Amino acid sequence: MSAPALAIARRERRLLTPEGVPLRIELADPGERIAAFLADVFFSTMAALLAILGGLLLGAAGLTFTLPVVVLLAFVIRNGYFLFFELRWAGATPGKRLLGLRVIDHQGGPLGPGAVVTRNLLRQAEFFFPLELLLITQGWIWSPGAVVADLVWIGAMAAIVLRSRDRRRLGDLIGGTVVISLPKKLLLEDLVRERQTFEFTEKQLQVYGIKELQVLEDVLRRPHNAETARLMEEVRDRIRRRIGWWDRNVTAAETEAFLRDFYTAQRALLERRKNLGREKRDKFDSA
Amino acid sequence: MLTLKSREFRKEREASWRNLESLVERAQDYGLAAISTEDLREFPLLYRSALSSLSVARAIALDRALVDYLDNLALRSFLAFYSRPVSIPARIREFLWRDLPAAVRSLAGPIAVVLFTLVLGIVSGFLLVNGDEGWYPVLVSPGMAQGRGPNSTRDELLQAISQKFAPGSALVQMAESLFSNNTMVSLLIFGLGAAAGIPTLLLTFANGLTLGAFLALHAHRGLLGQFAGWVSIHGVTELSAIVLFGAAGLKLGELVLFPGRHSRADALTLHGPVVGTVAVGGVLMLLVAAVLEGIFRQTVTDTDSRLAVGFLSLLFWAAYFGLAGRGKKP
Repeated sequence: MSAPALAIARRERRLLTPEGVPLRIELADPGERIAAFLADVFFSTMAALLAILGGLLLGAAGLTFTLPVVVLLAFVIRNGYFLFFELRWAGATPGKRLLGLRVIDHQGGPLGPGAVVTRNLLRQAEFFFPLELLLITQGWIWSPGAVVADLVWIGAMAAIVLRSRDRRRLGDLIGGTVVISLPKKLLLEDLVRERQTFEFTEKQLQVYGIKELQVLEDVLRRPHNAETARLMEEVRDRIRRRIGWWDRNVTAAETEAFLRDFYTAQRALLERRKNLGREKRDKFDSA
Repeated sequence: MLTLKSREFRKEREASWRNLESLVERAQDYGLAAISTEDLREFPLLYRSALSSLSVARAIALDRALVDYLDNLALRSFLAFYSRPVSIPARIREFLWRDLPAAVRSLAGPIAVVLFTLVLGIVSGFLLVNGDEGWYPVLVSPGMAQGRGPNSTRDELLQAISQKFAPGSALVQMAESLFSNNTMVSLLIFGLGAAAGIPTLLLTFANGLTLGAFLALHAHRGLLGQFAGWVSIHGVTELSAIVLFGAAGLKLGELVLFPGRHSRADALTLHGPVVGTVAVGGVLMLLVAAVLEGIFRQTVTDTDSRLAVGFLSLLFWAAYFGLAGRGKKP
């Protein structure tokens, strides 16, 4: 199977279901994960701010919001947020949902509570504690050495993600999880036309292979606009020249119908050949 | 008129894919529990038929949109189908009653090593400072000592131990104690375990030395009992947490040094859950220790009661980790 022409090139892995069907999984891109993480930090910080505001309004008796208290509240709310959603939404937080990411078990088993708790608490150790310890000025913690140590620590954690084969952070490694990209895909309409206006001979359909068919599919699935129309005309002319189809003139209004008919005929032939075990991969494939 | 097998195939199966799609979506949003019994009975059939559709589509169809859709649907249904029913209280109970004690028991070896190192540190620190208080500044950092040292008189030390805080500041106390020395030490002890476990043992030993030095300092001034009470009310829990972190760190070091026949990443994945679970247990114990330090130490001021709380907490942790969830299958 060739990779989609327009999508981000992702790292792919295979996962075998207990039924013996291999499924393709796509690893999440580090950029997407950072974006999802920032979105989650934003949401949970908002929740924490609301909680603190609520506390102030209710005038919690004698409660002073010193830095350690704020850090403790942030800790509880942030982890509550991540844990709640990753358990409730089967490995997705609102931020991950926005970007179409999911946490799954690395071996393909069910995502257990231990794994979720582990990966989230380790996020604390990987990222938040070093940051928060810098904020709390207590004795030896606030020193240039500590700043450097913090940066080295966070850098080392980032290096683990980039070095690991499946782009897993320490929490993923220890929790036994991996983050994948799994946006919901819609079933797009079939491009095959029920009744064809244009006809092609067997010889004209021998030219192209599967790769070209799927490029044509991409063109036909583009949003309808002037640019697409121009592109289609260009593709139409190129196909006509290449396969030598001169039955009649094709007007601009008929272009899409022509291309879809060609797609239909070409796919019918290529699928037939595939069934007979004579797959033609692309136009250079002489099979 | 051309007939395409892939098109006929799609027409025939599309309705069942749509059914499965809506089912999977509901399962993801509200959990399997929210799905009606009727739909639930359909689920395995729809799921298996989607898998077979995918295999067929891969074999016969050149419609990439179709194959991509089925790929995506099959993976999402697979995850929903093999997920476990979401009940957060049940999962927390499961974690506390089965996973955590079992994980701690499985690290009995490393725990013994760390405990031994800690005790060794305490005894050494005590003997050193007991013999010569000049060792004290070497073993205890100024931040930890907070003015307590060889120059302190008995009254000064006693005052530090029986100091009281204004009511209502319990949360502040708790938070401050959490983000004080011990959390940092615990994280280092655990995290640096990845460096072959050596920093873990060194830090544990150093921590023991500090405590031993304190003990000796107070013993010289006839305050051993009071100090032990003051420290044990939360210290038993806190030190146990440190021991857990240390054991998890050692296990981490072992996995890095001796991954066996696996790659390091695979070894971590294989044994990681145990290490992670124990570290989570350590975090929970630190929270309990913070509550004990923030609330109980302020309200329980009499030395005997403090010692009793310390002793009871020791019994509690030993019983919990030793006995809870025994015989339950994972």
